[in-house]
Amino acid sequence: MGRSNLRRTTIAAAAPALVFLGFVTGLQRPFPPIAGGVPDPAAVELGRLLFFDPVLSADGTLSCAHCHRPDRALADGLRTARGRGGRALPRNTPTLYNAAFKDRLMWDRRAGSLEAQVRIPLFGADEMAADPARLAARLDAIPEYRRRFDRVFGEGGASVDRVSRAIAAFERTLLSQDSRFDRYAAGDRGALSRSERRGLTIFRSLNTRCFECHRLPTFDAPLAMGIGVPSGDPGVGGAGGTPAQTGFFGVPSLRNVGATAPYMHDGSLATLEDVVDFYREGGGRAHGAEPGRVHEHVRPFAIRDEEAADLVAFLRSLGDERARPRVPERVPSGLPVLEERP
Amino acid sequence: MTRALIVLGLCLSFATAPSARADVIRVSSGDSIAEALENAPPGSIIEVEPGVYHEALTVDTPGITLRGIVRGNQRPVLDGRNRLNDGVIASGSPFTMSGFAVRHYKGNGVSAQGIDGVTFTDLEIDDTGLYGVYPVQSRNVVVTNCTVTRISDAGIYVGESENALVAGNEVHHNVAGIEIENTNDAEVRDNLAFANTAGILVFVLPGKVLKEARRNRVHRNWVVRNNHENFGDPVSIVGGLPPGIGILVMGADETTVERNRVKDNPSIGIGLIRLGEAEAARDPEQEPFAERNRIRGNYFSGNGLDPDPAIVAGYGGGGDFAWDGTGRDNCVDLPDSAATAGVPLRPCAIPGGARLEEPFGRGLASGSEPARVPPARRVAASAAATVDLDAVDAVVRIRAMRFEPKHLTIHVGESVAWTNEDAVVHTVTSGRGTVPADGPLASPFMMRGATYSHVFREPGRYEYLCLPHLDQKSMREATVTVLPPGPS
Repeated sequence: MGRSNLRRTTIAAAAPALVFLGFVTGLQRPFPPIAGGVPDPAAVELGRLLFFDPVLSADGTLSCAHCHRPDRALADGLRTARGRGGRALPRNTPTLYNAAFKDRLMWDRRAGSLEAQVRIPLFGADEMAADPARLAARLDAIPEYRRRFDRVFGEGGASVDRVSRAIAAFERTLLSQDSRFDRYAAGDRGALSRSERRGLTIFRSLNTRCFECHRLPTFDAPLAMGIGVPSGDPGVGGAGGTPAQTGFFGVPSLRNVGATAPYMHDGSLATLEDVVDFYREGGGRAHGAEPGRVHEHVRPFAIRDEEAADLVAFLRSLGDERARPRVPERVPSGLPVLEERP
Repeated sequence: MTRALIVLGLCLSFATAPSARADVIRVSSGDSIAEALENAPPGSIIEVEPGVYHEALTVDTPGITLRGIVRGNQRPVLDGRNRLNDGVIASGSPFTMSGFAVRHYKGNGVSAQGIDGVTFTDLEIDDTGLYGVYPVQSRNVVVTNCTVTRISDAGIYVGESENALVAGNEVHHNVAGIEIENTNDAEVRDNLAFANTAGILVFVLPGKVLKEARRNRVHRNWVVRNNHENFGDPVSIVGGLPPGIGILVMGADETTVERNRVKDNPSIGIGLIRLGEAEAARDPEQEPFAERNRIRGNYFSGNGLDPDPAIVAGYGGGGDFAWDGTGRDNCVDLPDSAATAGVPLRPCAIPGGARLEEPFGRGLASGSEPARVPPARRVAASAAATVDLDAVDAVVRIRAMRFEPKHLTIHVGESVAWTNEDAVVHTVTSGRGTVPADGPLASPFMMRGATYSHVFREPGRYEYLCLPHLDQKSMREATVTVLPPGPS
């Protein structure tokens, strides 16, 4: 794919005499495999153009990148997303960084693959609202798309399936694996400050238990969990889960978390400090959530304010946006790229 | 698994053999262990002198051995003074820690996170928050000869891990003594679990990435008088357990529970149940039923005589064994005298399986079993150091199921040694009447010929008992009376 994002750990040769399992420290962990392996560069480029092209939306004003903005860590910085015509959507826009490693997508985990996920905002009436019956023809009418689809997937031009696959291929290059934490994990002691290192230890404490769900190296887990953020959103319980999973959501990754405020499925917590305070109080337990709605690992804990600040400092060390996609100067439709919406 | 063990063996030989490459770093009282760890190259041995260290340690370097130097009753103490979060958090593979006392941390005693090849041995852990020993998401785990007390969740926990040995430990006054959770191939043997809310748990719980607990083996443990009130977080599953449970298998598959001595647990001796419906509904991907478990050849006595109301409500009363009637292909062999609660479970179709020989005939160092861990890792026969009987002030001989003398009077500062001359295993354990207590006398299991000694530094009357035999009058209510310094 021409980029170095899919780095394999190759430190064994350079490591000291004793190398255990190929890792310099125990903080280095293998990333899960990416579905389909390294994507085809031509598919990635097609996916990138589609990602930024408002032609995918019904009214030609909205692209994927309007909510997953390169200058906002592939989120949007809003409390909850804004859809078609500026209408408020119920949930906070998650970053796309490392979506490639997720077993399921969407806050309520209803999409089993990136390809399936793409279709949700693409066809959602409140989002891009594309017409599945007309999308392929619309793209095929643009000669550059027609050529690119044929080249990547073979004769036949565009199709909903091909659009999904191309955008998913592009998304699989949006990796974030080389934060200062990763360099510290690879043995660079100076990569984290004292405060950040203390924060890492607090992150791994059984007092806070952050690490139990935000697992190395992805800082998430393939799980639906309840932490009790007060909202009427049924989450997983309303998307094929059991009634007992009402208010459960997928565990979001903490990669680039310093750049993706506000937080939680409803964007109700403005800062990382607010998030840490929420957990210090016992998560939803402090907000009247039923006990069964809050995982038992989420419980009140006492840490000093300096420790909370260290924890936030550590979370901010998880930033790596070097895979930030280039914004195309023009897209095949000729429509304006990332133009501010009314 | 064979290959994993060979790899583990190689790693351990790197980490523990005093080779030319292993740096040995000495830490003395007043120095910082954290500083030594910071600068230790991979494969280092850190030796720590007795003393009190107010530190929270992280070990991310591979191949570290953190070895407390034990001299008699003296050993290094990690003391969090209820201000620090965790004693040790380790991630480097492999990792070995021994010879420390760990106390007064807010979150946890010692934790291994994502390690392949971790050994915790000869640790004395007390009052360290939610857990004492917490290996998680790890492989090839060894926890031996540790004492873990006053823990508000599980004293020794092994979670989301593969291949573990938990042996020769003493766990008491915890909510759960030992908990094997969403873990495969753990062997839990020769442990002593008493005065916990529940002695030994083999669980599947919802919300875990590893969604099974299979092929765990719980055998030759003493699970006695687990009757502590539950002081855990009532919202948690362990914190909601009714008191008085010996061994509980919940939702796990292919567990073997055999040749344990299960005595005087007031609610249930051994229980076999599914993960509760409410909990299971929170994780529909987790298979909730306990299946293909075998419970056989255990020795029961005096269980279920004072059951918790929740047990009475659920099972109609207490007993030596209780099953909730769910899950396929389970079986149990019980002696004719056993009291059962709940739904009757079919016997295991093993010839003679119901009457294995009395457990504990050979003790910890039995060499007859195939080794599941490298030989150097095997549990030593009773960790008690050899004691020079001429050098102590008084000797109590344990023979013919008696303490001789049963009552002894000494002065402050004097030492007493107990020596076991019987063929059976004994302990010297503080306790009043038939109730073991968290007191100064806490011997390991003592094989024939083993000796245990204690120096009494405070005047008073110290009553003790033998845990395995506290039902025999001759093996309890023994005393040491310690007088103030007398005229010499």
